[in-house]
Amino acid sequence: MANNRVLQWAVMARTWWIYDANLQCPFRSSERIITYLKGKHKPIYHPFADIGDHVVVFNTRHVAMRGNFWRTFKHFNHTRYAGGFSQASAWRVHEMDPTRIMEKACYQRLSGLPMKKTLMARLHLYPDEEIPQEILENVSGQIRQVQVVPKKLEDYTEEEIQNFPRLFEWPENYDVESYQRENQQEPDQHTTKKWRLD
Amino acid sequence: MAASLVRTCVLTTRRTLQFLRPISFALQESHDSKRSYHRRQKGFLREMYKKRIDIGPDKPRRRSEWINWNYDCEIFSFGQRLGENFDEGSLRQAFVHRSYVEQEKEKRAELGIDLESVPLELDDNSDLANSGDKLMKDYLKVYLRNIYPYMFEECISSVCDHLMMDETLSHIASHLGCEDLILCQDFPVQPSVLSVTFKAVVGALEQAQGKERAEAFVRDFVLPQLIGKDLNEMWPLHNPMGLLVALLSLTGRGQPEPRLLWKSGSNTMMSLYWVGIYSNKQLISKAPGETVLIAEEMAAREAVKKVMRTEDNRPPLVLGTVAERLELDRDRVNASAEDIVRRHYEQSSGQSDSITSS
Repeated sequence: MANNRVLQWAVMARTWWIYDANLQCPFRSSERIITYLKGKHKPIYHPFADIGDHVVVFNTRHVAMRGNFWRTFKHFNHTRYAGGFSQASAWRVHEMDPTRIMEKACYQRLSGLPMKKTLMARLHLYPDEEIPQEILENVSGQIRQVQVVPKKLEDYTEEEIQNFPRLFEWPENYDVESYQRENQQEPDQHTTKKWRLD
Repeated sequence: MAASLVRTCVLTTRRTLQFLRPISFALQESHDSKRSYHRRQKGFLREMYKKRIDIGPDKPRRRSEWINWNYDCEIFSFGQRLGENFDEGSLRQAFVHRSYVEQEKEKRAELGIDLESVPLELDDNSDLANSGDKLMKDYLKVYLRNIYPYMFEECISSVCDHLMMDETLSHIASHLGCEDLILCQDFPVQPSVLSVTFKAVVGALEQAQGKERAEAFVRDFVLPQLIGKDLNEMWPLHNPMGLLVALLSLTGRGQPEPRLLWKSGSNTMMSLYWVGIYSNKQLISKAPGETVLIAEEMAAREAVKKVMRTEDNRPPLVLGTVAERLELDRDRVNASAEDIVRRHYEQSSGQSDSITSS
């Protein structure tokens, strides 16, 4: 039954996908990634069937959060000892481990599954563009990004910036800088003292 | 009055049925039929249970050793169950195996009965089996050639051999209830004996009702064994790529060119490769595999399947009432794979000869 064997092999074999997290929202990305981790894109999907795929995520250092979330979004931890609670703001967590934000976002969205940790073992996270060659050779598909990568100001040439249409020109004696306040080093209110930098 | 009559009837039948049952059932009777048992029965039941364990399971016995067995009646109802009017003499003969005749002769010799003065008027089923075997093989091949006109002759022979195997025929025979009717030496009945008997039953049907009816019988009972099975697997094709090369060159198409279409997880245990075979830049077939070589071989097999029109999505076999209207061409012979390969090599060697001579 060689024919049936290879057909079954083709159905059950795990595909490797790649995802570029550059300037992508980690929360919306994680929803897309766990679809592949769980195997929900396959017609043979069942919550208890272990048929999920591998996902390689790179550029996790360059994920983008909307609004004020880098400052206000918190990661909590409890050691289960008295007084063991601690929390850290997203930017602080990101500074300690640049893959942690993405990992935690995926892990939290896998809640309620008994195979949560097995599925997480198939998520390969890399902070930058460097991916080991043996991992990259397995990859055979790309997951579409959740949002268009915006163009940064430094990506525009000086000429393009000068030619950008303006409604009006500032008077020459107008003080542009004066309304900006000083960059005050405010304490990180959302992080436990133990983890704070100051 | 009526109620008491019914009760008496039921009680008597229950009592008689108890005698008819094998011993093992009779012993378990006290467990099964009552919802509870009295405490004083406990020791008795335990003892009976132990004895049952010590004795072990009953040895298998022929149905004819039990009570309530009427061979004449069973022979008659065998034909009626199948909806066929058998000739009773030939049907009886179909169930007599050669070993049974020999056993009877030995018994008579032991008793000192002279076989010449008192001949044993018992014929075995080998003649019937031979005629049935021939009819089945002929019909199966004719049917398969007409249903699969592009299938190679070698594949048709393999499928026919699969259907004529002892395992297949004994499966059919035992499910038709031949096992109880067979007269043979060995018990339990061997698959080879069952298959010979089935062939003999077909032979007996041919004698009684003619060839057409016997062929319909074969179509109804033997051919459905192909349902859900892969015909291509029955044919042991060792070099599918060689056959494909010969086929393409004889039909004037380009040489087959395998290409890797897709792969995933190539550094892992569960690596998967899809290989496609192209001819004249057109995809003929594609197949998956654990390695590139396996995938290439499977793709070649897939291409041969396409040539034979026996892909996995082929239409089902024509059976049942629709098959009665089939017009089978009995003289039809399909193409032979061996012939194709030989012609290809003769052609290619002829070409190379002409090249070297010029």
